Amino acid sequence: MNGDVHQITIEQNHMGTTFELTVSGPKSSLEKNETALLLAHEIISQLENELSEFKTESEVNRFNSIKAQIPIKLKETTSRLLSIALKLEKITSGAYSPFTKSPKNIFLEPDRGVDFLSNGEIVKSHSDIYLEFGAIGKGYALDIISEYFLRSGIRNFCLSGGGSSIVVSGKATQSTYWPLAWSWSKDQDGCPLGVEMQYENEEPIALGISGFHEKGQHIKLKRPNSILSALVAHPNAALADALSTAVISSGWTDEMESLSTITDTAPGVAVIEDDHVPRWNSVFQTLIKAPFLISASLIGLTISSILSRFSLADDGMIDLSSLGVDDFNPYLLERNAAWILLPVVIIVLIIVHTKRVKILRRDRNPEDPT
Amino acid sequence: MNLGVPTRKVRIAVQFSMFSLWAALVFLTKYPIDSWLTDILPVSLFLRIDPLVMTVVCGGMRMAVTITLLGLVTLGISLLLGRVFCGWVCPFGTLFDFVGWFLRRARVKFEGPSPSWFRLKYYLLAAIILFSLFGGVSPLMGLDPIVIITRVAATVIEPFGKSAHLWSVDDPMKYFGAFVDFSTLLLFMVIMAGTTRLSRIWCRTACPLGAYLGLTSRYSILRRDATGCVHCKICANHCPTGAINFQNEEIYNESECIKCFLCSSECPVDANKFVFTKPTPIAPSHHPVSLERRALLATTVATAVAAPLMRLEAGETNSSKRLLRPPMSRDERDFLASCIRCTECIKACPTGVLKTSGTENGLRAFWSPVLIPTEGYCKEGCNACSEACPTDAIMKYPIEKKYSYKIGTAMLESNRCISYTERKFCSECIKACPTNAIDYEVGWEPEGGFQANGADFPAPDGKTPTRPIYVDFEKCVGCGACEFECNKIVFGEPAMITTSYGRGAPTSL
Repeated sequence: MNGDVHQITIEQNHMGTTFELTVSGPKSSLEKNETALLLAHEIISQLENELSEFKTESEVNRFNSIKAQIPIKLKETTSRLLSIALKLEKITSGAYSPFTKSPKNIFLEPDRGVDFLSNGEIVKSHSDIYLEFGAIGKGYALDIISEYFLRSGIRNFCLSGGGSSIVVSGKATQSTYWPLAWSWSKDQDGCPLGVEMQYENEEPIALGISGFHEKGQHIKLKRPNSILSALVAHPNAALADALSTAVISSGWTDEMESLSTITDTAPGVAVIEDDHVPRWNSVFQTLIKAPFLISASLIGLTISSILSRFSLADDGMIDLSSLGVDDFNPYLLERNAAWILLPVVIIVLIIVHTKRVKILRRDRNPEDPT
Repeated sequence: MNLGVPTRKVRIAVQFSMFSLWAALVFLTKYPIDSWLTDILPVSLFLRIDPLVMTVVCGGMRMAVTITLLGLVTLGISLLLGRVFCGWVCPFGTLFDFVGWFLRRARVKFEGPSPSWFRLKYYLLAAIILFSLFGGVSPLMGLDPIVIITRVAATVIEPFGKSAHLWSVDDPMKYFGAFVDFSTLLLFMVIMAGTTRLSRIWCRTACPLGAYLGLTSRYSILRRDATGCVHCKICANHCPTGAINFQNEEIYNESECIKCFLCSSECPVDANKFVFTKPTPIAPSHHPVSLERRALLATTVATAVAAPLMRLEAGETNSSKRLLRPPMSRDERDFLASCIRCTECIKACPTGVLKTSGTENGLRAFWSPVLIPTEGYCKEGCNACSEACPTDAIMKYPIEKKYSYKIGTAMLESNRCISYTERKFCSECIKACPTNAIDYEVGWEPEGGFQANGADFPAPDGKTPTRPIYVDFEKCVGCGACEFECNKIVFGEPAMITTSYGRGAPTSL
């Protein structure tokens, strides 16, 4: 609580995990926010009824139990999620897939086994093809809740699906942002170890985290790689959720190549490798860091407060390696050719200075250089 | 809107505070960097708020070197208010004003219009920026005022502090090999001598940061308004940067104005006011500096030719083999694209092993820090140079990871080792090595074994002393301790030579 701001959190279990939904806002909106939170949990509950593979009446189960070559029309929510999942499958070159098979056929059948008919129905090419949205279900639910809140005029919220899929928007209080942390191991006492992060921008952002320190059962390994935990930041929670799984499966190099095909909004990616070496791309760095720089300059914080914050930022937010990880590699670089614009702008300014030569020569006294 | 002008006393108080802060931070840049002030502020604060540093390092490296981005704050202030940094914050400018205060009291005439070559600073800036476009920081960056004054403190004043027995005949001067950086001393003396002839002559003619801020302040909204001027020339005479036109005092040059407000405080009729106004269109009375196109073109061509030539120029024969950089330095290309020659690392180094490079490693490496193992060694448990570096040319690292990556590798030249040539028990290199990287064969040892003083005990006839055999590449970090100790004993070139071989490679430690 801070001044006239309040926070309400309601936790409920869905999709085999705990959804913790928090809304922050003025006291006058207390009742409205509480109702919105309850409705949000209800929405997730309905989604679970459609997407769960363990509920006999769910859409997913209806698809999974149907025989090959029999057309089936899925409900719109499930159909929309399936189309998102198929796009992700393409982006990640198959590292993420919504389809699974039983172990007996794992070497016999191709991964994909559905055809889309022109009337919106789909058919399975083989009975042993199953839908499974474990990697993106929570993220998709959070996307829907996020959209619902924004439509309802609620801008300050923090949504957590089991702690591994998170959406934050706006601020926690009038003066503080939502606290975020990323953990990938535990100490001897079982306390989580990792880093705290700052996302100092009020636009909604989703963080998807996958790793072998967790259950890891939804991760289908294409080949072994050295990533212990992966974090993906993107405005779309389903995408962030799935990509974090894909990064774990494919490894840093392959997945970064795949991600370069996403042209609308590039995801921020950070990983912790098995030997606890951190890596991250420039988008992640920008998401977590740059907005603070810009906003701090613009709102005219006192210079002293900025200086003290920056002085501590050195080994704080960007240099993950100095925040308790076990290994260290200082030779990791993320270059971006756009930074060449800084000197280019100065060169342009210098050239601009040459444009007034004629005017000044006419006005100028030859003895006075000014 | 009338701004209301701060009094001279306010500016002097701010300048004094800023200079004191700078001096305190430079003083505290020494191992261990551990004080309440350095816990709050980085020791290289003034270099980090330098927007020229940010531009050349981020532009040259093609990446966000985040610790330099504080320069955006200074840049923002300049865009809004003009060259306030030069008049209120810059420690070098404060030094000039302090000297000017003495000269004024001594009735030395040192104020007047700028010389006709005052545009030199813009061409220097153009060259520095063009170098960064080509992917590097040129030694010209060493002319940045914050860099110069920091380098004076580190390479001219600091060596006197490190040599406690400088004036004693009993104790030889320890860092005789490269005591002070004479090029920096000479440059500083020339600048200060020039200041006695013309106020802030460096700011007017050669300061690349002044030129940078002059460019960005072109559209500032805080401008001088001299309506009601009676043309007494008092303001023009007092202007420390010659920004006010001597023929018509109503005209002034916004790009040269450092917002010291001296014109306001000296004006007898209160005609000099500073007001917030629209930056465009630029009024005739606010003419920015004009540059000669031919000169700018010549600068561009010269830089375009010099940049690749400086890369090709590799210094003396085999210099690259002996070119040792501080621990955790970026690889050589990136190091030269991010090292701004401030020598903060040299100031911080407790052993004096870091020195400035001359031209022996190539012109491009001029004024950059190099490790000279005959002068000292890289101290175990110290990461002061990394903490002091304002651009991450020496990257930040946790102290326990100091030996994770190599500076270089030591090599044994047994034909110069006295345990081979004179069969003396020495083993100083083995004792000095912090990582036990020197493998040795056990032979004759004097009483006391390894605790005995080296080089004093020849082995009996027919026996060989315990002596080094080779250096384990995976364990040697290239700290130079073996060479430092060897150099004390061997006359001529030491038998242990630290080379840059394996720089940046991970060790087995």
